[in-house]
Amino acid sequence: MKKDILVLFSLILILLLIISGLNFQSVDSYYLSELESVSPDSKTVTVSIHCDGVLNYIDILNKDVAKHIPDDGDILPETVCPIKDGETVFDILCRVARNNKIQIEYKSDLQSGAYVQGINYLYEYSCGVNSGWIFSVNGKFPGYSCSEYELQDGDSVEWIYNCAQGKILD
Amino acid sequence: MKVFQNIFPAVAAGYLIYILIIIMFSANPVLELMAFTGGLLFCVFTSEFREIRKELKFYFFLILIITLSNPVFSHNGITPLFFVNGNAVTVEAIAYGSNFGVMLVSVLIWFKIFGKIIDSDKFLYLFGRGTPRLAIVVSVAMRYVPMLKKRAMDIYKSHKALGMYTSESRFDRAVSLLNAFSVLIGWSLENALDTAASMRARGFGLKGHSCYSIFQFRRSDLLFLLSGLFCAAATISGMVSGNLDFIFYPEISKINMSPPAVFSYIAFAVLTYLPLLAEAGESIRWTYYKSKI
Repeated sequence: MKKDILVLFSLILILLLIISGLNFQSVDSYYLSELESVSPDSKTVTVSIHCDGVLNYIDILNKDVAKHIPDDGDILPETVCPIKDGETVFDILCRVARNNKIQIEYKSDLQSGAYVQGINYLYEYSCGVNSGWIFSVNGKFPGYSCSEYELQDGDSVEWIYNCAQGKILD
Repeated sequence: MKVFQNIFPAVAAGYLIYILIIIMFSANPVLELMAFTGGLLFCVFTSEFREIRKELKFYFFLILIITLSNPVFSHNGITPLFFVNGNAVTVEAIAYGSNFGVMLVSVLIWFKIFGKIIDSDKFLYLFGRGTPRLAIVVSVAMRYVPMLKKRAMDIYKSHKALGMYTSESRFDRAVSLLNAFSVLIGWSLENALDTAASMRARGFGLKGHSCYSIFQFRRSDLLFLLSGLFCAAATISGMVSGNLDFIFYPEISKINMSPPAVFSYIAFAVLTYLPLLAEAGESIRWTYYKSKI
């Protein structure tokens, strides 16, 4: 009997620990949190998200996904975003997605950092086997995880959907 | 289960394989629901409710767990319900999860029906001549699950008679069950070797070794063969032409109600409900005859 209570107690403790680590938010409070205004002395970067490349392959794309792609391929036009010291490309992407109500999905683990699987319902592999989201900072493709790249004042980040079968588009 | 068990083995096996293939390769909720209800009702109709009650509970929990766990791994979909740690829990992910759960459970149910109807005798008749080795391995494997259940019960009972499981703690009893499990595995592995040796001693799979079988192809089998083939072809052509396509992400697509799609639905409904109807008809006829005695 004593053992039972001990086992039950530890199970409840584990469950509570998991729940306390979760942060539940309603849809409205999620979109409205972390809104920050740009003041003259804050450090800023510019962010944009496009999928122009996909427009050439729109007929191989699933038609429900294609419906959500803007006609000019600009999911997010160039936007100025304030940053704090040490914030990464991934942090900024999450924040602009939040503030502009753009859906994103990512995988992240401690070893290799975050990997963005889909933005605005457009996912990796939807447009050929090598398609997916890549990012460039000031026109250069770093080639490692977006949660490892720390941004400086004045950087310009571009998220691009790459359909070019493994080659990086210009 | 009088009708389906007396059908010619190849016809019955083919019939069940069409259904399994269609369930596995389609994501359309209409087809999944028909296969699910058809298979479930057939199981309930042909077995004691007491036997099947535990399984129904298991199926229900399986569907529930898959439904609830899919939103944890998938955040795609246009209608978020709420956010957990910045990840959306969407209606689409829940719908996809429940559809997948129903699909998995219907595959389990139809495989169970397959195992009941194509018993090891029929299985050896079907595949024993072409690939005797594979046939014996598969038929032994199919026999394994019910045998394991029976032996687990035996071990449990003899352990109980020896005075185990007397502790009041549930935790202790769970550990004792683990012990019983290791006994079970040892016994079964040993038995599998025995079976193989015994089959070899009887000359199974040798050239010129013949088997006696009682199966013959009757006229009613032809009817089943043709109706099964026709319905399966109608459904599969609907799947190939894209009429039965159904997508959950990013939006749940509407159920296609165009005439060719409805035709495919009806064909699949006939395919999945025909076994049930045949059994029901047979049992009605049986009670009618009995009432005249």
